Amino acid sequence: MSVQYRFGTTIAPITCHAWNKNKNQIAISPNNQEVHIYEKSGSEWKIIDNLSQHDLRVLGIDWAPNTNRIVTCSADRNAYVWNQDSNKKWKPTLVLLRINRAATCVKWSPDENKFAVGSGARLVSVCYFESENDWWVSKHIKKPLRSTVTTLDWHPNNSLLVVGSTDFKVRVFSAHIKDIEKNPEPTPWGSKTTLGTLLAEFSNSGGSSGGGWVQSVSFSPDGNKICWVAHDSTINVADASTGNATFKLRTEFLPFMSCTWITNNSIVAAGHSCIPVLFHHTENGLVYSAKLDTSQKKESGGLSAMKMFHSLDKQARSESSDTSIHSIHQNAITCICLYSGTKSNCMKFSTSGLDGLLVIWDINSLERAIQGLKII
Amino acid sequence: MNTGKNLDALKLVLANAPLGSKNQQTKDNAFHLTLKVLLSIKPPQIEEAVSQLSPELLDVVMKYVYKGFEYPSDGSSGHLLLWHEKIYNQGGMGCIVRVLSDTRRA
Repeated sequence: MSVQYRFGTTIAPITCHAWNKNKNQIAISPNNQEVHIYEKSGSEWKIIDNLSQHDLRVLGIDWAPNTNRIVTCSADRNAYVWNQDSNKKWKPTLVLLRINRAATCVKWSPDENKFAVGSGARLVSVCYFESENDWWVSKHIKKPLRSTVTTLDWHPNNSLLVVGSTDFKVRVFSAHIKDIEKNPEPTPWGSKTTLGTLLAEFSNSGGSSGGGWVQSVSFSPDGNKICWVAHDSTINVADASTGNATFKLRTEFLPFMSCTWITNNSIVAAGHSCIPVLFHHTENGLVYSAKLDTSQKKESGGLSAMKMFHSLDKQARSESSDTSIHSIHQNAITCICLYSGTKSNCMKFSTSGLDGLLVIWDINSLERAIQGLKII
Repeated sequence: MNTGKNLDALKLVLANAPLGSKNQQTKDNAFHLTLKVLLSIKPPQIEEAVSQLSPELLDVVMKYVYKGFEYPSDGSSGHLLLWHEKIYNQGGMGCIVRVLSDTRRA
């Protein structure tokens, strides 16, 4: 149903992870300034490279599947694009982000000719390769961002960007670079294509609730809907094809930190509750579907001497109290990535979190195992 | 309230809670009134009262419960703990998180 992996001997948190095209290699950051590349051999993961160019904690990694390039960004305000040389070693190229705060998140565009970096400098840098200077340069989207950008995602048409930030707002911008690409087709979000045009703005507060900052955003596979999760434990969907109608669901869970669409109507979100949760969006609104982790609490096998010393050693207590929780992940999940399939038809997805565990979830077998679960 | 319609009074004060108001006096008045209503509902009725509230109002009442913990009066905290338990059973952890993360406080 789900496969669990651990990398190396450490149990450090995994800040974020990204897969290569064949899914036999993974880039993870063990909560420090390094990015480790692991390759699968048999059932083991072997470290094959260590990307250590950043000075401070890495906050975002994205691996472009077709052009096979990695982009990383970090709290040291820099981003690097990594290319493989003839010896299969990764070599960095510095990107001119022109920011004075940490770079918090990064994503390649679907065509992989540009990427966007969000930062604490209240702006988004849209970066592209300038061949005459042999250099990655950036253009800024500044207005009307009022606070740190925490998350972003690309529209499938390679030109729109959705941005979530700590000013409790979600915004859709045009991120079209006219120097390197031709005009895109108009979408329900609007027809203006100038870089930085604000096409839609949604507030995560309103009514009786003051809301919370935005943790993660995702464009639906057809590009007409966005979903976001925020620190007030809500999940929200906005639909451009029905006049930007928004749906908000106040959940009973702890706040979610990451979300993604797995079909055009289904969303998986995960976060501080340590379990991935499935939601459906239809014309009638946004509804909770199921928890995707059905683990039961392990049977405790009485008090043995071994156990007593174990707990004495680990927690300096002689009575053995079971502190594990009823889920596979034992700490908050910070990152969800698609493992096989696309957003319109995802078969497997992977989650990583503060417990240093990476779990791959198989949606088909989950659908069979969990009663009443249906992916629409 | 005088006619014993405590449940209706509760819904009324919650629906009109001035959470976004900048006037501290208004907020204080609303808090004292809401607390009075909360404490007037007898323990056996709490569960029924909570079950009639919408998710939005659950968040609001939870804010007042925490505010009530902040300014305790004689015997109020014990009563509010009962409220807390019933609201938590229905609204889950999310309800508490929204009290903490929200900028519009009671």
